[in-house]
Amino acid sequence: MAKRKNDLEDILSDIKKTTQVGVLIKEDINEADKQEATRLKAETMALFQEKTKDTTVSPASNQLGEEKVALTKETGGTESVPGTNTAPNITVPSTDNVPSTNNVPSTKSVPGTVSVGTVSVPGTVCVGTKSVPGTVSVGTVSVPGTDSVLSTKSVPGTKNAPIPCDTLINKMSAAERYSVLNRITSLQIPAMSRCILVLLLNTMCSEMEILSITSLSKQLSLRKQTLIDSLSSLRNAALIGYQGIKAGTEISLTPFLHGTNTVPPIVSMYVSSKDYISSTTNKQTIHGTKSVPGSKTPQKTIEIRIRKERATKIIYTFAVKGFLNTGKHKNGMGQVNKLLIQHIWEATEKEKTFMVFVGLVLYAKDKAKESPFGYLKNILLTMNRDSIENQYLEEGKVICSDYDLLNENQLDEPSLKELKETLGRMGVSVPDTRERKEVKDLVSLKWTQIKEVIEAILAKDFENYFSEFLAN
Amino acid sequence: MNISNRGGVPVGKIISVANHKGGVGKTAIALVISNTLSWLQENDPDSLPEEYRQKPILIVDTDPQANTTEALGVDPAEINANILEVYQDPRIMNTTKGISVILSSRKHKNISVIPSSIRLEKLSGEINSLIDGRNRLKLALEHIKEAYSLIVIDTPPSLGVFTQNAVVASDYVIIPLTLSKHALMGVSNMLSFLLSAKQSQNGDLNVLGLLVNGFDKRYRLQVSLLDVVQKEYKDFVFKTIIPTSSRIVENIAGRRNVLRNISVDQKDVVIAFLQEMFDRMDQKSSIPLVIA
Repeated sequence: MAKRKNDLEDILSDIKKTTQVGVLIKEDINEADKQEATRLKAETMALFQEKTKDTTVSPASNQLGEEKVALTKETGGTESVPGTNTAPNITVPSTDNVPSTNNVPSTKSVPGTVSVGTVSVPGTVCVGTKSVPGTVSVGTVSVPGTDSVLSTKSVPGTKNAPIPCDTLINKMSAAERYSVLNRITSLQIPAMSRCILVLLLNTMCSEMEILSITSLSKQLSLRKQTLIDSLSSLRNAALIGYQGIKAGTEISLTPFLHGTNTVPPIVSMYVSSKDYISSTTNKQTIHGTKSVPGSKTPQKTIEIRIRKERATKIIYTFAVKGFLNTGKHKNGMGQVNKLLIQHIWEATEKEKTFMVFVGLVLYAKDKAKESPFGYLKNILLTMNRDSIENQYLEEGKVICSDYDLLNENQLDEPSLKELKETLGRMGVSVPDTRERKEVKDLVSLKWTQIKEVIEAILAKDFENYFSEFLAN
Repeated sequence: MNISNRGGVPVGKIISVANHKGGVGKTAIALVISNTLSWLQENDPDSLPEEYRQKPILIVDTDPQANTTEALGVDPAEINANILEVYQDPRIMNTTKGISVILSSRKHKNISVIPSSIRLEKLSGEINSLIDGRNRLKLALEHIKEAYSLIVIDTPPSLGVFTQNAVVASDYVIIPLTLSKHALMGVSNMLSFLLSAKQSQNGDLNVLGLLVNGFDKRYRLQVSLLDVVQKEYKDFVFKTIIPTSSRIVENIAGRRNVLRNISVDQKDVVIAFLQEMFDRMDQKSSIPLVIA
């Protein structure tokens, strides 16, 4: 007994040691919570102050405030360069004593360097800005009322990232660049390969170059093996040419830039049918997406089939929820429901609107006191469709899956219980039987009746829409 | 019991149940939270805040073992749509197609599930290499969280990419714990993981605390360890302790509601746990309110 007690104490002392570490980390988490709260507080205060300022300060003074900020920013980061005069017509007290504006020794001019991040404001006069051959000035901004700086300065000793202006990506127009980047993002290749492709476009100056893999890997700050793997995968995807020669490695971007390879369609069950159609019938080139001639007809055919199926599912929902009298509606839904048919047709355009419509039908059935059709028409005009509750959407999905089951005649798949549930959802009283055949027969019988009504309504009420859609 | 009188925890909050030690009852706790809330919605809705009375509960199963999915009556082998698609393309949840990823649990009322799949394991390497690999679940849940009163994420027993995704997506984390030496030794690692997640990925993350699960007072070691845990971690440990229950285990195995046929005492315990959880959520949520 005493031995056991000692054992227990040993274990507890072990645990206590490790628990101490945990407790310390817990304290750190509490500390992080406090820091987060402080940060939120600061943010809220800033927002509050901003809001107060917005409500009290007139637009004109607000503008002046912005100018102050801009001026402060400008003077805060740079030095008074010879040739730069202080804005004569703006008195900004806060910028008088900016510590970093005077005599900053590290801001001497270095000829031939690149200035990145200087900003220019429209309306100012630029006098004699020197351009250094081979350098690029990106996004220059100046402040209204100030004279321009004669020459751009940079800090000696700081590393300025060289931005080669004659790389392939810089040679392209904005539209081409947009199109190329779009193509790259839609490629089904590993993310690293995609990045390498962008880097190559930003590094290479011609479509084919002989490069050193070692220096390229250093330039791109990548492991050599990673670079080689990515280049190989790009070559395998027929996007680049890549081969080792005596002088180095020959990389060619011609297959990518001039290839007419289509963007591989993402054939996933979640890609909407419309997206799929457009991706398979359009070709993407460097100049953008081009429609393939003659592809209109199959596209229309597929789309009409999808819309027909959606309309069928909506009518099926009407039928199982008791909206339709199977005898009465054998000749279509009739003129009185013309508006409703128009709504159904519009809802079939997209998967989302279709699902919402089914949800609305179920909602109408649930809430209507007398005429569900009347109630439905009413809510179609007045209700915000996005506000439909999730339970109706979920129920709609179940009904649509019932339809798929019946339409594909897969009644042997579900269990007896599920089959009974389907029968119940079809509006038929479920018999207390264990005979699968009996339940299956009842389901089939009801389905045959519903199918007749659906076909009649489609033929009578929707034919015009289908033919008009195909004709346009 | 009335838990309706609380300071307005907004709906659509996401809670992860996470611990990298296996067998501590992550799945059980995820199911207990959802089933208890669903039970209260049906039997005692007045005791719940208004926003919790109707909206369904969503369980996101990110464990490739898919135990939660199975326990909710969804056979992972039968279904095609699962969390795999969500990780592959989070934008899917913004489309109506994404709705089909969420399945209604067949045996648990008002509970929906994003099922898991064993195939998820294969995806972990791929997700790891993606630049937004840790944000994918967050992106997906952003689109749908308003539709649910509570989203509970069950995580795998690891600190891998799926747990990271869950933690980044969550507003709150509960760390379930069994009273064994190794489970306790792992707590510090878990806390350190959550701390780094909070500091680098998700500043809004709140750790609700350690929840002692499967407590059996007949075990002397467990009694002693409980004492140590409560003394050392103090308020960080949930006051409610979930005792071991063969009924709950049987219910999970039988794909039934976990509250089915459990004793009145047990039911009181799980409801008290839910109450404490909401209280802690209120406390944590009230941090920004101090500012106002």
